[in-house]
Amino acid sequence: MKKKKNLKLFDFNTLSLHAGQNLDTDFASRALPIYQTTSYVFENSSEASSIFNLEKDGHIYSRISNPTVATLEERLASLEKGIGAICTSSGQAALHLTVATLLNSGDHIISSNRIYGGSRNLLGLTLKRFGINTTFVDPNNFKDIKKNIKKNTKLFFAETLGNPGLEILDIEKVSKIMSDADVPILVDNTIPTPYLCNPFDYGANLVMHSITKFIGGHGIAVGGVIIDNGSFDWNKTKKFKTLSQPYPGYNNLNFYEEFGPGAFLSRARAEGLRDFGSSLSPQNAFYIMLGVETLGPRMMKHVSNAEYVASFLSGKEEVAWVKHPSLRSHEGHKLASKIMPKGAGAIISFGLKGGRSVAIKFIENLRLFSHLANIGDAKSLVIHPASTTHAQLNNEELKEVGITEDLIRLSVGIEDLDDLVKDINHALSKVFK
Amino acid sequence: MYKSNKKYNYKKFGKNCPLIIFIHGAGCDQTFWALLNRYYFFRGYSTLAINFPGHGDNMDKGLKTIDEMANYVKKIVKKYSSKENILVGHSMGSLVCLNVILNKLFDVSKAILIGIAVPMQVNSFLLNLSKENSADAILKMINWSLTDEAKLRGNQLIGLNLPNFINNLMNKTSNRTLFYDLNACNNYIVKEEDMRKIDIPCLIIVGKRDVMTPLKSAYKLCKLLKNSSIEILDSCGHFHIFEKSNEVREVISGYLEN
Repeated sequence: MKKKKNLKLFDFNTLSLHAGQNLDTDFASRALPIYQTTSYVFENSSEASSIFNLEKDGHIYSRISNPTVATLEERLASLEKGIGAICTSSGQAALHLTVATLLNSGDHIISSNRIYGGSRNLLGLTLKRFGINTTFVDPNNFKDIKKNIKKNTKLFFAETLGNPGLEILDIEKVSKIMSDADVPILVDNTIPTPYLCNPFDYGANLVMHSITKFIGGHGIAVGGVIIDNGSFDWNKTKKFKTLSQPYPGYNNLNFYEEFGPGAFLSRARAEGLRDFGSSLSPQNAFYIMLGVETLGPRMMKHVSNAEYVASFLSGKEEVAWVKHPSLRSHEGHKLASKIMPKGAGAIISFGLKGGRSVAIKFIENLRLFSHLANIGDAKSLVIHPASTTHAQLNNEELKEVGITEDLIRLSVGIEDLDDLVKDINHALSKVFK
Repeated sequence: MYKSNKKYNYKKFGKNCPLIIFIHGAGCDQTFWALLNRYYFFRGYSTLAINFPGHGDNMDKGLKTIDEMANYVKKIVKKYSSKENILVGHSMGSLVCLNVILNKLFDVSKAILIGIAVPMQVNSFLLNLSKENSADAILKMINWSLTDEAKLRGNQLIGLNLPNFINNLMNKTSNRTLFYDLNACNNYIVKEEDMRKIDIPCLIIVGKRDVMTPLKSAYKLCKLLKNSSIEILDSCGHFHIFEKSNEVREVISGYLEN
């Protein structure tokens, strides 16, 4: 396949507001209607059977597809430059749906070790019970990645920006290694969002998001999405049997032969959503769509606030260390400038002199920052990962993934900057009085 | 029985069933027909969706003329020919259908010509671009082919982004193949008097807002083909099957049933 060029018919903010939404023909509603229905009336029995048998597209049951959710899927696909998307009930469901669509018992995953604790648990422990093993690697140790590729390796997984260590994934380099080994790359692009980075531009094959985070931006709805850009040749090695061999579930349908670039998404929806049921509700799709409409302007404010806060923290005597890719001291600063030219997100990790107890005291003294287990809300958030999101890891594992006892994770919101700075100063003064 | 390889996707429904032969357009491949192929197979038809050389998974060197393409179809159909062969072609594929009929390469009972113009002149800018940089030419073709609604707003394919999907599909063609395709369309000349001799029933499907193969060309052809009819799809550009998949299916089904 020759080098494909991206189609740029509209810019980001226009797509954020319009992509995928046909105007309502019933009542000319300008807003996206919420199709709060479980099922859909068929015109006749012939139509019913053809939709059930994947002979034509159509909605059957909202566990598999729903018009409100489909609009969000199309919009997110357009923002990430993908051919299509499937929304799920959470980001974790998107990861599981991808794994369950591509892999079988006995298969192998290579995963970055700099990932969200829940993903680490799914890949390292839960999937192991079902015969799928994962090797965790430093995502920027390319020799180690290469060394760990096995015949049965069927997926590489990493986050664009590691959570909470903020390591930058060199997507281009990893893609080259994986492409040579015929292994698809799934990138979790939750922290940058498509506004700041499009992993497909650098060779990723699949992109997922927890759309609960910056994409939603309001912290009121949990959701996820998996997006395919159709670049991976599922038929090349014959090892992706779920896509390239007849499937008895649909009268020996060969997804690759029938649907070509749409093979992965077709199987993930027809089998994955049908069997596992991890669908996004139409109500939540509507809420998340409200966030998508303002994603660009919000991310600009998130980034400008975060860059200032990172720089401000680095100048404070009480602060032992600060990590944000905008800082020249960050090991991935140059790479971040290349793949995220508009800014490297709004997550900051830092440590205070005095370690864990001081970190916890600082968090408890913040007034504007909400202490909770989420990122990407328009409101500023804070957490102590070692005792919460990554608490299931032992000390050795914490060290391996770069999470120290003193690490505080900030998700910088879009409040007025002066108020955020005042809040941090206030908490510091309480801790270091 | 299910038999397929990189050159085509053949599904045999049963003995003596009519065979629908799907012939794709420039830069596309057999998966272009996914929404019709499977549907008609489960409606009592055997189906054969061709991958021309250089398209999709067919790695052979691309063909340079409509004549060559028609003969390529003939060779494959020879293996699977039925008492009733129905041709369905899109754009360049519809010219191939016409060539098969004009040269009587095999028996055809009906033809459905989607997005056809005779002559199918390709503008020199696009032709040159496809020679120099087919990825750029594909972007132009998508931009000109889809209506503004189809480029931005939703479509009937659940969760798919149509422009990016088509871009991906067309980029599976090997280098130079798109140029060969467009050049073949541009150079294909049929005398009007020859077209007047065609008496096989033909259905012409055209998008009202198709700028690649415009409505007026379809009307002109319809007048020349004595046993033809025309169906016009509102708010539809040149990728009829993706833009108006349900309408295209309904029109074809109605025609086949009659």
